[in-house]
Amino acid sequence: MQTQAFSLVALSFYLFQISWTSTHLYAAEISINDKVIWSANGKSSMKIIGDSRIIEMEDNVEISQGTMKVKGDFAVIEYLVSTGELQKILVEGQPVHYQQRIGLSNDLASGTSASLSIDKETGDTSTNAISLITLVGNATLQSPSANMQCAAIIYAAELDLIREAEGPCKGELESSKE
Amino acid sequence: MIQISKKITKYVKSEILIIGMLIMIALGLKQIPTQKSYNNKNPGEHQNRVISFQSQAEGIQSTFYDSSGNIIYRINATKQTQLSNSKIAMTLPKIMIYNCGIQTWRITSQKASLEKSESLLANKSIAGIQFSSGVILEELSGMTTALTVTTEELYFDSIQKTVSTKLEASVAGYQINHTAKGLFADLENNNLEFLSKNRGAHANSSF
Repeated sequence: MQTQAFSLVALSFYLFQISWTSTHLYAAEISINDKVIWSANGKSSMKIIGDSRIIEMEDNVEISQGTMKVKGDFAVIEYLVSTGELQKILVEGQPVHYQQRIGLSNDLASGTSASLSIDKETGDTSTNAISLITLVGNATLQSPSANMQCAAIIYAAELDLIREAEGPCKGELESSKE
Repeated sequence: MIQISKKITKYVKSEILIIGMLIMIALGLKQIPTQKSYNNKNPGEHQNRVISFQSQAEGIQSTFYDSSGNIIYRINATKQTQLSNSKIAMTLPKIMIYNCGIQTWRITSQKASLEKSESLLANKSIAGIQFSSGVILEELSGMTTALTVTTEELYFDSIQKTVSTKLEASVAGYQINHTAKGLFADLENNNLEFLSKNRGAHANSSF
């Protein structure tokens, strides 16, 4: 079982290398200027810790940015107060539902997990920064290139790329992109 | 003959006197119901003239200190009316809240009501201020973190340095806005809590 999981992880890294070279085909609209919009039925709070403003909310939480939409039971949004730069979004739920349109196509990526976090991965310039979707706990992901169920999945949505997967896993990955 | 004419004259005089008295009595009786009905038509007029405040002042500024001599808050109002020993109504109030001698928050509104009461637990008098109509709570840090809260009612607890409302409150700051029903804010720690129905947005993020 562990060998199978390991081979799947290794396969995903291999696919990463392949797809990394062909990212221009899937050049996604990185939604730098899109607003992050949220709503929640229950309590919420807003506080400052260090240079971060932290917003927490609970009960029927919905967070969206551009074509991405996440639903859950509890969420934390964190951004730098000095620059206004959004740093992290964390959503927990039973389960969390994630959905996003990939690139300029109408293809959708969707998934579920016990928790989901969105972190910025800084590139060479601010315009090629990508957001990494980390699904942890009974993570499932359906995208144009993958249909997977793992303990945890890290997904680069703009590239339609599974960056990392933690086993045990089952599912399938496309070996190449047209 | 002369005696007869004298008797007639005397009789006429007494008749005239009696008629005159009757007319006066009749007029008097007519006036009484008029006065009664006048009183009954305006039963509240007398009450309205009762002075309902103890004192009134314009352009007042008051400063409140804690037991250590530190300023808790300073309040201005264009008009201040003392309604009772424990209640003061204010028009266009502006309150500056201090933390360690520095102005940290400001509250303004169309009107406010300051009420003093005795706290048995704290064994001291406490003053709460209920702000209403166009309430604006502003953070005075001068930094990008500064937030502005708007609502229609806000209660300020001067001892705890907290504010709260059950009504809808909107928060706006640099690149952020958030609206919810019900707010509780700790003004010393700059923590805001919202009770329900949250919605908000953050602009120009780097994601």
